[in-house]
Amino acid sequence: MQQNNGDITSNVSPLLLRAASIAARERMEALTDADREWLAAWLQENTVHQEWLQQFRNRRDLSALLAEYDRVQQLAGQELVAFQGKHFMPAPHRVHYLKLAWVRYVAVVILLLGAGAYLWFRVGVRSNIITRQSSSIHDIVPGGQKALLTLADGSTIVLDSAANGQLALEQGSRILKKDGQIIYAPFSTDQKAIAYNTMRTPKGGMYQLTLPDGTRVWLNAASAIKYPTAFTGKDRVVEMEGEVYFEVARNKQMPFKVRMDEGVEVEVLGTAFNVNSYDDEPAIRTTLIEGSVRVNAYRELQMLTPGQQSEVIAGNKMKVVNNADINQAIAWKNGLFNFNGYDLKSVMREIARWYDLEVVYESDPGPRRFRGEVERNLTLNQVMIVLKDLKVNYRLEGKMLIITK
Amino acid sequence: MNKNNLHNEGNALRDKIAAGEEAAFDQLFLDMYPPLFILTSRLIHDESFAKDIVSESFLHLWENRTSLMHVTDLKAFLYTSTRNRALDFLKKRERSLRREERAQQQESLASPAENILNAILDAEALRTLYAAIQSLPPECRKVVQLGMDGYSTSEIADQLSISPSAVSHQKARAIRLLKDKITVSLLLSLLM
Repeated sequence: MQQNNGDITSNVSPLLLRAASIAARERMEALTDADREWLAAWLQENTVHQEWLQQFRNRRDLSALLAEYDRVQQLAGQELVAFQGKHFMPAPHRVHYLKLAWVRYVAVVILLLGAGAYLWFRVGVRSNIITRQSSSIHDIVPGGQKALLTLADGSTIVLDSAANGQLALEQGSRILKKDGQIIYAPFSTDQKAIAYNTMRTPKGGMYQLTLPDGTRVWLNAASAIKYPTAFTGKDRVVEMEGEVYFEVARNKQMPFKVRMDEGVEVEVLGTAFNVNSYDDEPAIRTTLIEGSVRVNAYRELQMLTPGQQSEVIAGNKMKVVNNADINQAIAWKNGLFNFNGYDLKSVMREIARWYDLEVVYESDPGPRRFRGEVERNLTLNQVMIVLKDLKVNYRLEGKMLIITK
Repeated sequence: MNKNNLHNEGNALRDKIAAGEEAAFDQLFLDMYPPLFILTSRLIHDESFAKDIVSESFLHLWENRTSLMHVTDLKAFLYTSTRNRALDFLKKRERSLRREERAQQQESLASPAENILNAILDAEALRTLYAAIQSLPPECRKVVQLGMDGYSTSEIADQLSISPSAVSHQKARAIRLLKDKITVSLLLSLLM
């Protein structure tokens, strides 16, 4: 096992890494006899080894180092997404196909409506028709199933890389992972202590979650939800940020409440609804799909009936929209962008959240409004090609999308 | 446990990456990014450049994936490549500092070889610890962590408000779990 320890031009030896791993397990008192023998032999090699192990055995700051490691593990998740965006072309590269099939699959209808031109488009790409094209065009892959789960003890699991199966046991619940979703399976109802877990999606991520009461929850990109691992007491309270769609399990004895930072609360009995509370959107919008909810904001209570949408603008009164566009409110959950009635800035806010971008405008984009749906599994360039034909010019510099004149 | 089997499984990840499987690369990235970043930040004392350096190492690996068959140990390969990049970075920075302040005597920024070796050992030991602890049930995890920080069984019992016998029980359980399950996965990653 000769090693050139002092020579920094030599390769790092796998044996060195093995020694480090064994030393780590020694600290957890989980060594086998074979490990002990191996380590003893390694120590005989030179004093540098002995000095390091001596020092490592005496460390009393491992918890702090592990906390730091945990922070870097989060960073690794973010950096991987950035890395993929920069260096992985989506293997089946579809731009080529899109251009060829332009006439067939993209209809552009210009309607004149008042002062603004409304533009309609819909893009569907059939995944079975794909042409392969090696290319080095700078592109950004769409978001996918990515989320972080923070347990009651503060430890965090990167869900995109975690294996399917049981992830952890928390107060009263088993946490199970199935592809793209997390399920809390309750196994005990008499819980004294309440533990809270948090699921958080990054920009470019979405995830599905089933709470211990059977309520189903979908998180859009850059969103979070905090919930107890077992529902006890007289109500079921969760906190959220960003955009979340709920299908609440019916339980009249325990109302379900969704709280937001801004002091807005939605109370429900058993229902399906969507809440969009992104900081960069002008209003918190709650859209009721079925059942009934009560929105509580700034001491004002408002009951919603299916098809209604409430808008709460910071510090302002609540406004209720009848016949809200439900398809638009939950398009994201169904894998679509729905830009009906959006101005360019609204369109770009959604794109920025899904492709993890910053958007910069070289000039005022004006009041022009759009109509149309685009699939969320396209790459950025594919989406932008559609917009380009609607006279939206842009250039991409790293993670910055610049809307030019 | 048959070592040859483990070895084959370890090489399977390498072969998948060599074949261009992005999921296999992602797995390696998430596993190895933290220790490489910790090593690099310690050598160059600059987190933002450390990010660049570690990303470059992974990019180098990915771009040269077709010739990975000649690499016997992916982890050692990544440590080597990252360490070399960090040292190059220090050399360049030292040179530019010298140019700027020619008159002044510059202290060498590069760490002595021994420190580099210690930094690699620490990073890899930490990676092993983190993976092992993450695999434990939460109630075991706290007991093991406090134990590593040097607290006695009774001190741990006080801190967690449980009985000393519960602490001993969790400790024994952790050790059993680690020996059974983790040794296998550690061996796997060792031979990767």
